[in-house]
Amino acid sequence: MSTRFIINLILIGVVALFGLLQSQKNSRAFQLLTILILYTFLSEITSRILANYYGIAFPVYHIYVFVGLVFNAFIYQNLLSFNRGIKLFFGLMTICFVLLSLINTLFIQTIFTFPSYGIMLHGLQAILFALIVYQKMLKTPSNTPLSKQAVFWLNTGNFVFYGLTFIVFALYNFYYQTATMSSWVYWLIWCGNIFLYSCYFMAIYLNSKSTNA
Amino acid sequence: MHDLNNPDILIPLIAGTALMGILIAFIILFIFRYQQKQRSFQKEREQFSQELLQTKVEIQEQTLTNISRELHDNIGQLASLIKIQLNLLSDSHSEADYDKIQQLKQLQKDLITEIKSLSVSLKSENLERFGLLEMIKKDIGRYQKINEVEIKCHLPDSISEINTGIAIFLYRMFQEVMNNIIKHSGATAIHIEIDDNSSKFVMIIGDNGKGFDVNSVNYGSGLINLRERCEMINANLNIESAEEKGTSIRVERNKNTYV
Repeated sequence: MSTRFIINLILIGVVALFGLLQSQKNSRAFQLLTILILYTFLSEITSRILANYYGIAFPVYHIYVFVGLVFNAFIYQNLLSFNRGIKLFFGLMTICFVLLSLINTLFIQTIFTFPSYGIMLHGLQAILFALIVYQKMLKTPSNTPLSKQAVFWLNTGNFVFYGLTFIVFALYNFYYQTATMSSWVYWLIWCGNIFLYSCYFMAIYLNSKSTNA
Repeated sequence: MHDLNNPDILIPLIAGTALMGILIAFIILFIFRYQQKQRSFQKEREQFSQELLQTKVEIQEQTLTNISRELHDNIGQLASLIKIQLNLLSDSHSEADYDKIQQLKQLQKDLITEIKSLSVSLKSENLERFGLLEMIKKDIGRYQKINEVEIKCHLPDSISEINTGIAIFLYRMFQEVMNNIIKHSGATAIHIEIDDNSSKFVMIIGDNGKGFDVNSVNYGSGLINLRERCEMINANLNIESAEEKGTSIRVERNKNTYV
């Protein structure tokens, strides 16, 4: 196991554990986020075990795409007081993306292939949701400084990380299908991951504080 | 080492960096816009609460004026009628009854005087008629009459003209403080000082009552009212108090302040 992987795994584990400890104080969206982080932690371990024993870990990523899409929808539906139309939009968009991912898994990138299209869909969903939340935040600003708002950290983490993965996979899926990913790309994604889970940590911490206050 | 001449590496590197730059620029832009919105919302909220407070004060003043009118026109008239009826009583009473009637007449006289002065102090229009200083002096006289408290005053002979809107606030604050002292402080002495010079108006009201811990006190509506009123006329409120050591309240307003 590489150092990068271990650092990443420890970070996810710490954030998941912190989320679990704070879950009583956290709002529903952040409780769901904690479950998703815990699921990510278990997926990472499972994928490594599968890769070591069977030489293939891709099925785990296929399942992760579906779980991630569904959890993202529920997290964002509970994040702010959206009207019914927006909540419906989150739901319908997620159903579409889940169906597209299912088609991808069944017919295009089977479970023995890395689901880069599915990950792109997951990224696209997260980016769109993040943009909607940014817009909502601009429409109804609160007195709390931005750096002390859990929603801002969650949204920014998602926007940057999923924006990054979407760009990377879009480039390699459509423009450089023949090229293998350079090592800097892995570094970039790893940095994005660290940023994402640091943001999640901040978001969970701030949410537990504000819900507690 | 990466081969930067290889377009498979170079182009994604440039494109990726550019797109990442866009992502980061977007977030910076968002933060900037959000802070702008926060500021404008804050301004709107402050303006709204100011207007709300203004309305509250206007309603309060209107209510006080109505009470004042009721006191003067109805209760005052009834009291005067009782006085007339008392005077009409025949003199054929026993000595004990005569004394009681005389006492009643005296009480009646005090009651009418009290109703009149209370009615005057409640009606804000009287501030225009008599001026802030005169109204405060009238109130001091009234407080001295009805309470067993020693009031020491250090008042100027006259003060410069104050806008009636602001004078109402200062006068109501004076009344609020005096009522608080009489109701809650248990003070036996009150000190009132007014200083009016070319640059500022200062009103200090102190007492030797039980005082309170300024930092830990759960502000009642009286003190909240004081703070709100001071904010509305851009005056500074300074409260100094300690348990068993009395309280001193200082209201200071610069004359070049615009409201």
